[in-house]
Amino acid sequence: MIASDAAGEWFSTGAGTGNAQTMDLSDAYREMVRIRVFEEQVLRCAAAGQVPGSVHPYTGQEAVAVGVLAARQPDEWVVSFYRCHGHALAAGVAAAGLAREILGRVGGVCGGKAGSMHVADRSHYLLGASSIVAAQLPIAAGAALAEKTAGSGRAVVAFCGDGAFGAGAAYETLTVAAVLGLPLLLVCEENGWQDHTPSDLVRHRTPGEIARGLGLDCDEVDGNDVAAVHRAAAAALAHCRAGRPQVLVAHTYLRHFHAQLGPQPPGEYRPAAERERWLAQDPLTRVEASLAGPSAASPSAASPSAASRQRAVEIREQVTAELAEVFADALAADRPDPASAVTAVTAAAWPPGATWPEAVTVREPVA
Amino acid sequence: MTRRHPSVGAVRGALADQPTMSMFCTYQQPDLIELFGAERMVRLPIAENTMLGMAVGMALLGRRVLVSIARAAFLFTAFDQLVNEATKWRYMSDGQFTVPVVVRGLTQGGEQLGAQHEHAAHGLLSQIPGLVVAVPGSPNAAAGLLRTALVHPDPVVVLESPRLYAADWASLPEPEPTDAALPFGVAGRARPGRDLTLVGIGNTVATCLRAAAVLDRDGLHAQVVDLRTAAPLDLDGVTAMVRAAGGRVILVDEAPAGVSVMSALGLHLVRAGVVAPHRLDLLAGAPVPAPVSPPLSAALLPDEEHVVSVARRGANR
Repeated sequence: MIASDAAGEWFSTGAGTGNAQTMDLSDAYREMVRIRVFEEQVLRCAAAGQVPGSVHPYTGQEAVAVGVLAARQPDEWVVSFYRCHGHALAAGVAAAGLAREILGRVGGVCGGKAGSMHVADRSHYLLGASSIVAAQLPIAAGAALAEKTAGSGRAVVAFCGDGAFGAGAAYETLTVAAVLGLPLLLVCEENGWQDHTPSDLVRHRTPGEIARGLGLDCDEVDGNDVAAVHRAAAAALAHCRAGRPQVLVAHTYLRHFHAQLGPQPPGEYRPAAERERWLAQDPLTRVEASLAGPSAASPSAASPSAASRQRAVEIREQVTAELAEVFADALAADRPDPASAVTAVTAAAWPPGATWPEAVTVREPVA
Repeated sequence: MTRRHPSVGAVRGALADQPTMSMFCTYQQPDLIELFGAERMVRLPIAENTMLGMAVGMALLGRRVLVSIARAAFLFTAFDQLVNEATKWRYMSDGQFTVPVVVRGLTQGGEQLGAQHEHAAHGLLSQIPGLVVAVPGSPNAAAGLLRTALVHPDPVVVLESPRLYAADWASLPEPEPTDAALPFGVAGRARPGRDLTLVGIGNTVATCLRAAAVLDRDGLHAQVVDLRTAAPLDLDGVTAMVRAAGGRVILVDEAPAGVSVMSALGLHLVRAGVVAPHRLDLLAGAPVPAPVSPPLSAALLPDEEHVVSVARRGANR
C-alpha cells in the first residue's frame, strides 16, 4: 500500500517480501551515475548539434530503471519507449553501442536505424522501444504471452510514462493481461507531465487508480528511492512469474524537461517550486549518504559520512572518465555506409530482387 | 457432401507443422481448439490494436501468430500496430528481430455492409514498406497464398473477398490448378490468350475471367493475369506476359486509381515499351465510400460488362 501527503509525495511501506534477490547499493549508485553522466553527455552533444533527431533524457528517473532491472533475471525481456537510454543502460546495453546509435555513427547497436528513441539489443534482452505512446504495451503483453505459452517461468518488464494511461492501448493491455494471466510487469514512470501538459489537467484517475480499478495488483513507490523501487519490483516480479500481472507506479520527476530536438534546450513550463521540491529528492544524492553503510539504510538518514561521500566522488570520477572516452570515441567514429539504409526492411531484399545489399544477419541472444 | 474449402487445409496444415504457432481471434473456433488446444487458439476481446500488438510481441520472441481480424476494415483500428510497429521493428533493430505475423481479413463483395465494413484496401496497404499484401482471386489462390504467408518471416496481410467464402464459392472461376503454395510477387496467368491482356487482382480476377469468356465468343482471345499480391508487385513478370500477347492491356482494380497498384504497373508497362499509352486502359473503383444499396455499389466498381465494352472498343483502334 501507499500513503501520500498533500504535496504529492509517496512512500512505499515496503511491499517487498519473499525477495531472494539483493541489490548492492554501491552498484546501484554506480549504475545511476552512469545513466546520469551518459545523458549529460548526450545533451552536450545535442547542444553541439551532434545528435540527429530528438533526445528524451532520463535524468532524474534513474532509480526506476536501475531498481527495477536489478530485480529482473538477465534473460527476462525488457520493452521500453522513447525515453529509453536509462532502460537500455540498466539492461546491460554497452554505453559505446548506445552512444554511437544516438549519434548516428558506425557501431551503433541498431546500425543507426533506431537513433535515440527505438533502441533494441537482442543480446541483452532489450526487445525494443516504441516512440508511439502506449504502443509498446500490447507488444510487451504479446511477449509475455509467448513466455507463458512456452512455460518459461520468465516475466516481461515493460516501461511507460503516465501519459500512456490516457491511451486505449493501456486499458486493452491491462484487461487482456488480467484475463490471460500474463507474466507482465508494467512499470509506470509517473513524472506528472505529458509533454507540456500537467497530467492532472487531462486525467480523471491516476495510473494507479486505473490499474486497481481494472482489478490488477498495483503497488506505488517513491521512484527516487532506488532501494524501495528494487524491493517493490522484486516482489511484483515474483507474482508475475506465477502468472499474475502487476503494475508498479514509480513516482519520479525529470531533471531535464520532456525532450530536446536540435541544439536549443526546450522551454521549461514546470513551476519552479515543483522543480525545487523534486530536485531536493534527487535519486543520486539520496543514496550518497548510504554507500559506505548497509544497503538497507534509509535515505533520510543523518548527513553522509566522509567515507560515503568520498566513495560517491570516486564513482562519479570513474564513470565520468569512462564515458568521456566512450563519447570521444563515438564522435570520432565513421558515419554508416549509405548502402546499409536498405537492409533489414525484410528478411530478403525489399522489394524482392532489388539489387541492394542483403539483409543483415539475425543475432542470437546470449544467455 | 460439399467440398472443404482449400484454405481450411492451409491453416490447419500450418498449425500442425508449426507447434509454436498461435492463432488470435475474437470468435469461437471449437474445431481448431479441439485439434490444437485452447492455449494456441487465443480468444481476445474486440480490441484489434492490442490484438495485433500482442501478435507483434509474440512474433518478436520467435512465435508465429495468425491474426484472424475478421474484417479487413478492422485493420484501421490496428493501424498503428501495422504501420508503426509490425512493419518497423525488424528495420529499427537493424535485423535483430523478425515479425512473422499474418493478418487475415475479409474485404468486400456481395455482402452490402456499407462504408465502414467494405474497402478495397490493398492499394493503400501496398505503400507500407516490407508488408506483403496478398489478395487472392480464387479459393485455391487463397489457400496457396495463405500457405506461403504462414511460413514467411515478415508481416503479411491476406485480404480475402467474402465471395471466396460465400455459399457458392465452389462455382467461382478457378484459375489455379491446385491449392499448392503460391510465391509472393509472382503474378499468375489465369487464362491464356493472344489478342489482349486483362490484369486483375482479388475480385477483379473473376471479373476478367468472365469478361474473357464473353470476348472469346467474339473471337477476341484475352489473356488474364492475376497479380496475386499487391506488394510485392510483379512488374517484370506481367511485362513478359504482356509482351507475349499483342500489346493491348486493360488493368482492372476495385481500388481507386489514385492508390491502385495498377497505376504503377501501367507506368512500368509503358516505360518497358510493351504497350503504347493509347492501348492501355485502367478500370478502377470510384473514390467513393461503399454504399449499401446494390445499384449504388455496383455503379462504383468495374464489372465484366465494363471490361467487355472497353475491350471491344479497343479492338477497333
